[in-house]
Amino acid sequence: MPAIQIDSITKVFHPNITALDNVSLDVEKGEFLVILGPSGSGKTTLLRIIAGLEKPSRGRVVIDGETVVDAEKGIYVPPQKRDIGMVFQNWALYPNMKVFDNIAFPLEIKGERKDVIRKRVREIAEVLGIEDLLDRYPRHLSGGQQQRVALARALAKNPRILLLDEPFSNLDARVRITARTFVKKLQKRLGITTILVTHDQADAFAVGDRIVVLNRGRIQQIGVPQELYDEPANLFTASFIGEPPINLIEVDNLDKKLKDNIYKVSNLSYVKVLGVRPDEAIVSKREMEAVLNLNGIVELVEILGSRSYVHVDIGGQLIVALKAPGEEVSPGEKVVVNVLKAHLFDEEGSRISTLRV
Amino acid sequence: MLRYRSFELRLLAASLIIIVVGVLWIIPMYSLLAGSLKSLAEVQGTPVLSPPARPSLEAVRKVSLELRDPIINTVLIVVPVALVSTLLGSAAAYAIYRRMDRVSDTIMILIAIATYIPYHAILVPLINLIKGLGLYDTLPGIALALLVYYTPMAALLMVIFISAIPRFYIEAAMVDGAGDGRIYRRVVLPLLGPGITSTMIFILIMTWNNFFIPLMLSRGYEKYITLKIFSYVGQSGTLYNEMFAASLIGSLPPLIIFLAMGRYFIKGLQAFGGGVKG
Repeated sequence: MPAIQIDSITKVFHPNITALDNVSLDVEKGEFLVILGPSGSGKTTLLRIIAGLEKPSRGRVVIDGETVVDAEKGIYVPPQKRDIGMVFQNWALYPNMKVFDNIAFPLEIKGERKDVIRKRVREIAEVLGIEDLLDRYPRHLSGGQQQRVALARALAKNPRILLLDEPFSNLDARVRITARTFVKKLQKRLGITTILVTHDQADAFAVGDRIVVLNRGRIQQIGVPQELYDEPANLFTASFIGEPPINLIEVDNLDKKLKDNIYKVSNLSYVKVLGVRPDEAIVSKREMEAVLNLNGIVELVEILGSRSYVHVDIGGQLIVALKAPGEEVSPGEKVVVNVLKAHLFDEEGSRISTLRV
Repeated sequence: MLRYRSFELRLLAASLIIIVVGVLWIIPMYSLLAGSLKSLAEVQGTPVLSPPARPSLEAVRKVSLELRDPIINTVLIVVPVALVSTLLGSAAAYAIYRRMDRVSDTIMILIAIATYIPYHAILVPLINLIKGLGLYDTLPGIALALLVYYTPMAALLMVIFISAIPRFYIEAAMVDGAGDGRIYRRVVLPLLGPGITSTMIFILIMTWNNFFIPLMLSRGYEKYITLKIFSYVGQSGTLYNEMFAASLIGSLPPLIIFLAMGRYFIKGLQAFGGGVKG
């Protein structure tokens, strides 16, 4: 039995905005699931529906076999009774309470004895490395510390599931990286089923066991991180995931020779768009063994230290690709883009196949 | 440079306006003070704004003894009224803030209407209510009438203050397992500090200065400060110096409250714009 079942959830906001459109999804026990999507994709709404802060227009959510909401049957369990922990985007620490009281709050509501509360708060504070902060007020803490306190508060009552709403987006770049590792390790150590919502693919790849890509209220793809990168289901996932972004080449705009070549190698006549990741194409002065060899002229060389990306003009279309190591190219030079892997998409934007060397 | 000059000019204009308004406000205060330090003959024979020739505290001394009981009575009425109406108002405001639907919108409109009804219009039913409860001419009777009238105003003010509290605090408390009672007591009320103080000060001052409600609900002049001050307007002539002294003493408590708590009052007003800093 999955820890969380999300079954055909639809959410329509007044008057007529569909935030979620028939979303179904299972989360396994102990899994770290990431919901990834741009702003307005409905990802936070989905999380709030799981928490009970929002009611779905249709569909149901089952946690540990217990139906917590079912729009058709009129079942609704309020957030207080769902036994979940949640970390909000801005952490929402109660400003009038010290760190200790913030963490103790959910335990106090459970009616735990004073000494039990004290013991549990110390315990969880130790796990999160915030024992020294218990006497402080939230406003005297740094962003990273506040986040840990919020995590401690969410975990204090040993909830069935942990929900994290953009927990890293308010952190400095440097703290963010350590925070990701920390959260990932913590989750594995506690083995708690966790759902994290983010718009940042780096967050998603760093912590997620599986990633759900959401756009305009619809699930685009569910998979382990590598899958999303290697086998994007459609144009949206392909372009949303990957840094630098994938090159999308309109096949119709290519010259005839090249077009025929693509049709020939793919054996498909309805290919509309060609997707080539910058890291899966090599710019060189000579032709290499590749799926496709595209001739073009260098426009710009972007040096990133360990590697360089070259912007190449191939008959009116710009393509970014990795520079072959050890070679020097400069703007205006004639080069070959050796495509090692290309995704082929049809008119609807679905991936039909992938060409590999 | 030009911009700097225009800023200076605006500062000057603002200072001038403040001075003019300040002077306008201080004149009645000054005439009260001057009048209460004069003898009856002098207060009747000299212009209101002329300083007393031989200042004497006699009127003030005499009146303060007479005002002692009415002041105590008024304090016994207005302090509980301000406290209770503010707490009731904040609880109502919390309920409205939580619901945010057609029901709460309607209640909100009713509260606004109740706030802006002139109390003279509801006085007859109000008096009947107090009489029906057997509380006519008692301190609790006056208090209850003031409470009925001022609670909607407190609720209206508290709705404005409570909307400045970010919703995520309440949502976090819900996820933590807290019910509405606990959320109100442990999360909302502490964050409402400045709002509560401002509303309480406002209600304190408004009720202290109220004249009509205690006038209609009591016999004699001893139960309320404003009535007592009014009593110095005699039927066979007015003791102007004593009336001045009574007015002076009677207006001191709200003034002291405002000066002592003004800081919180301003803080509360700022919450209108800024929201709660976490």
